[in-house]
Formats: sequence, structure tokens, C-alpha cells
Amino acid sequence: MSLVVRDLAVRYGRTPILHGLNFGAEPGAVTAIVGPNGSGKSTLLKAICGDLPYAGKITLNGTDVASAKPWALAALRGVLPQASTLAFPFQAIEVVRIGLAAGTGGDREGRAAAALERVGLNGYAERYYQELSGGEQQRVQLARVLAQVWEPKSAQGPHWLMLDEPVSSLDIAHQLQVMSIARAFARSGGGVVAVMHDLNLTGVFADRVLVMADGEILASGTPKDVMTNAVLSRAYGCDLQVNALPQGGAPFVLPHNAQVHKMEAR
Amino acid sequence: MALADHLPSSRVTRARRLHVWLACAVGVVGLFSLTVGATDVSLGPALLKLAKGEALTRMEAIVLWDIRAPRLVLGLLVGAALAVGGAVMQGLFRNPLADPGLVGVSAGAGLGAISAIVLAALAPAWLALAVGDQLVPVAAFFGGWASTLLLYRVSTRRGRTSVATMLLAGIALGALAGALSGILVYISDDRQLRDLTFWGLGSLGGASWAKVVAAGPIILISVLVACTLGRGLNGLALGEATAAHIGLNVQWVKNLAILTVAAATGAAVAVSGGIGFIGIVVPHLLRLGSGPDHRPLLINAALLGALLLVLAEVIARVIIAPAELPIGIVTAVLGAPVFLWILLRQRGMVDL
Repeated sequence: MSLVVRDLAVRYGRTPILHGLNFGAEPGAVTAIVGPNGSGKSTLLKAICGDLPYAGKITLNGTDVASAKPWALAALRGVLPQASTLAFPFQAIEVVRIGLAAGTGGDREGRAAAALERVGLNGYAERYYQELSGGEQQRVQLARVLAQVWEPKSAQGPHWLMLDEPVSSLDIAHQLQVMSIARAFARSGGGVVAVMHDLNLTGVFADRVLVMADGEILASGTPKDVMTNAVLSRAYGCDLQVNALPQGGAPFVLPHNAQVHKMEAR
Repeated sequence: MALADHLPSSRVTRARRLHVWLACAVGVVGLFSLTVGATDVSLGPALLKLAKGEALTRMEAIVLWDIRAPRLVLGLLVGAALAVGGAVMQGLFRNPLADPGLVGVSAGAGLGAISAIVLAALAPAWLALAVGDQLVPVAAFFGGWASTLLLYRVSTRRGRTSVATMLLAGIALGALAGALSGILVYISDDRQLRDLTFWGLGSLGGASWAKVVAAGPIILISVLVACTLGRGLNGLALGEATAAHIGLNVQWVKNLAILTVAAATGAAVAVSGGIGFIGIVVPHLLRLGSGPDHRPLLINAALLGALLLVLAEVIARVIIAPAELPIGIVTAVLGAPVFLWILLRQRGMVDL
């Protein structure tokens, strides 16, 4: 009952994007995928979500992603896209309900409103989606995903959240809120796979980190093991200094003047 | 908060209540359309006669049963087809200004009709025998279908239909069909020119029970199937990727949408010619009134489309009686200002 990726290769036209990736993610943990722009993180997540044709094998809870029906996958996982547009003037609660139209079965009464409350948008139910700020829209989408998967696990196995840069347009308080929701979901037995740009949030919230560069996995493991000067500097192609938080020792990266001068000198 | 979710939102309730109101209004307008016309034959006295057991005069029977009734039925069907076709296309293309023409059906139907009008003399004898005097609608229907299927093939790669490709290829195909039509117009004589101009303006003047029998089942089935697409189109409003993520078979929704719209609009255009604006104005008015949820929207669009087209048909034949205005003129005169208003209103939204 986990996510298994074997020999995954993806190409856009003739351009290879991912070359033979192997990795796994377990429920109960937040697995973060980090790496520079164009390293293939989002492509990897898209393949896992069944959005792309690929070579290799991906199974989620033992279900083959390539051949599964959309509704079978929808019962296992919800997907938060990086950017989402909405046609037509739907209200926030209607957007969440659309996510409920398919998805997992069971009792749905009250789920939409409860999901909005979980992302701190109670009182926003009848607001028009298009009139919300970017951050609020992203949280409505998260509520839609939460309403779809709802329980972190069911009798059939764990449910999964696939998050593509879930905090990219949020202020710091909402970044913490959303990452806390993701971690709580994992702590209750669900699986979370998140593409992350923010290395510091990754250091604090991820249980496992996958560092990608040029369509390959450079390193994987706990944040402390993986987020080192050597790995991150190599992945991002620039000199990065990793420090440890005083409490708990989570790794964090701060740009500093010496580094900036070095970049400017180049 | 939790309480609000137990009840459907107020907009959905309003949309469902609208089903009933619109259905009643369709009934009233339908009866009205049987009552008024160029002759002074009217439904009330005729029904009274029937109730008393008296026979109708020949005039009454012909006007009511052979002229007004098939027009009414065809008007209801065509109106529903155009409005639902518009709503489905807008959902599929995620754009409130989309109309059934985008799947190529109008261009193809137009070319088919013009070919039939101009080249009728060249038609082989067996064809003339098979379709009789219905060559124009038959050609329009098959022209519409052929161009939609072509467009669909062009924009489908490895089992996935690209809506964006369809939009662009549709423009190219439309231009090509327009050019071919232009050649036919160029070689046509004056009488043919007049016929095809009037075909383009749209009319239910040629309505007959034969046309109802030919086009009715196609339109009825396609509209009913299209009305089941509400959930799928709601999902598509979130984008194709998300629609798949929430468990919808996106390709299936697209296939059904394109094929039902092509069939319904193709048949509607074949029997009535070019009737504009119903497909754009009706869904938009309903979205303003009761929200964009496609499940009630599609049903309401069918009802309001039928209502407005029958109303336009009555206006077309009453306003300059005993002559008759092409119905496309009426819908354009009434619809174009509404369309402009929609555009201005949308621009206002963008400016904000």
C-alpha cells in the first residue's frame, strides 16, 4: 500500500524529460520533491497522477496508474495543481462540490463546508472564486482536494495527496497552515507527495526528500541526510550553504552576501 | 457553516425551480403560437368545435395541423438544440462566447446546403429519387457531420482531443468552406442566389411533419444525451487535468459533447437554416440568473431555447403578416444587442 515508481521515463515529443527513475513513497510521511526549474519535478508528479503517457511502471496502492480508470484513481488520491483556472463564475463552495461529484464514495453531506473550514475559508462559501486572491483560490483548490479524498485512510488503504507547489502563492502564515494540513494528513496514515520550491519549508515539514536534477534523482532520504551543501549545490548549480535550526536541527538555507557577490562576479 | 452545506446553495434551488417555470412558459407560448397567424383561424374556436363534435373546416385543419403544428414542434426542437448546443460548446471550450459553429457544423452545413441549391441539377437520379424535395436539408445535415468528423480527426492525437487545436483548425476549415461556398455563389443564377440567401437567414417556413419525423428523433436524442453532460462539463470548468483528477473520463465527455452537438445542431440547421444568437444568449442569460452549474443549466437551456425560438417564430410571421420575416433576422435583431451587452459586461469584469 504505497507509491512505487519503477524505471519511469517520460519524453515531450523527442525531448527526454525523465530518464529511468526509481523511487517509492510510503503513507504516513510527507515526501517532498525538490530541484531546480526544469529538473522534471512537476513532470514526475504529473506522471504519478496519470496525466502523461510514460514508459515504466507506476503503482499507487498496487493499482497500475497507466491503466486505471479515472474514477478508480480519484478514489485513491487528490491532486492540487500548480496553477488552476476556472471557467464561469462559480462560488467557492461550488468549486469544492465539483470535486465531490466524483471522488470517493460515502457520506458527503457537509464535506464541502467542512473542507473550506479546514483551510480557514469559513465565511467564503458564497464568494465568487474569480474574485478571490491568488492565495485564497489556492486554498479553495486545496479544500476541493481535501473534500475529494476526505479520510487519510479507509478500509481499502491509505489515501494520497499529490501537491504541486502547494504554497507557491501563499503568505508565510498560510504556507505554515497548508503544510500543517499536509503533515496532519500524513500523520493520520495518509500519503503526501509534494513538489516544493521552498527548501526551508521542506526542511521543516518533509519526512522524506527527493532531490532532482536534469531528469534524474540526485539523492533521496530524510531532510537532514539529503539537504547538504554538496547535494543542494550540485542540484541547483550554485553555491549553497545549509545550516541547522537550533531546535530539532532541521536544515535551512539562507542566501548570504558572500554567495551573492560570487554570483555577480561570474 | 455546516448547515449551509446540507441545503443545496440558493442558486441551485433557483435553477431547479426555473425548470418548472420555463416548462409552463413553453406550454403557454406553444399554445399562443398555434393561436396567432396570418389567417384568422384560431385554436380556441377550433377546439370548441372539436369538443362539440363538429368537424373542422378544411381551412382550419390545414392551418392548425399542417402548418402551425409542425412549425411549433420544429421550433421547440430547433430552439432546444441550438441553446443546448451552445451551452455544451461553452462548457467544452470553457468560454462563454463559444457556439456550436466551433465544431465546424455550421460551416459544413452551410456548404452542404449551398451545394444542394446550386448543384441540384447535377445530382444523380437515384439521389433525387431518395430524398425528393428535401435535398437541401439532407445535404446540410451530412455537410455538418462531415466537417465535424474531419475537425475531430484533425484535433485528436493518440486518443486525446485537443480543444485548442479544434478551435484553430475550425477557423481554417470555416474559411475553406466559406471559399468553396463563395465559388458556388459565384456560379449560381439569380434564383439560386435568392434561395441560398434566404437559407442563410433561417426560417421555419418550410416546416412539415415529414421534416419533424426526419429531424425530430435525431435532435431529441442528442439533446437528451447532451443534458446528461452536466457533471462532466462542471469538471471541465476546472481544467482538463483537474477534471480527470476528480475521476471524470474527460475524453468520453468530449466525444459525447462534440458528437451530440454536431448531430443536434446539424439536424436543426438542416431544417431551419442559419439561426443565430440563440446558442450564445440563452446559456448566458441562465448563468446570470441561476449560476453556472451545468446540471440544471443544460435542462433550462433546452427549455428557454425552445421558448425563445417559438416566440421569435411567432414574431417573424406576425410582424409583417401576411408575409413572413426570416426567423434568423428576428433572433439577430433581438440577440445581437444582448450579445453586445454580454461583451461589454465581460470587459467590465476584466477591467475590474
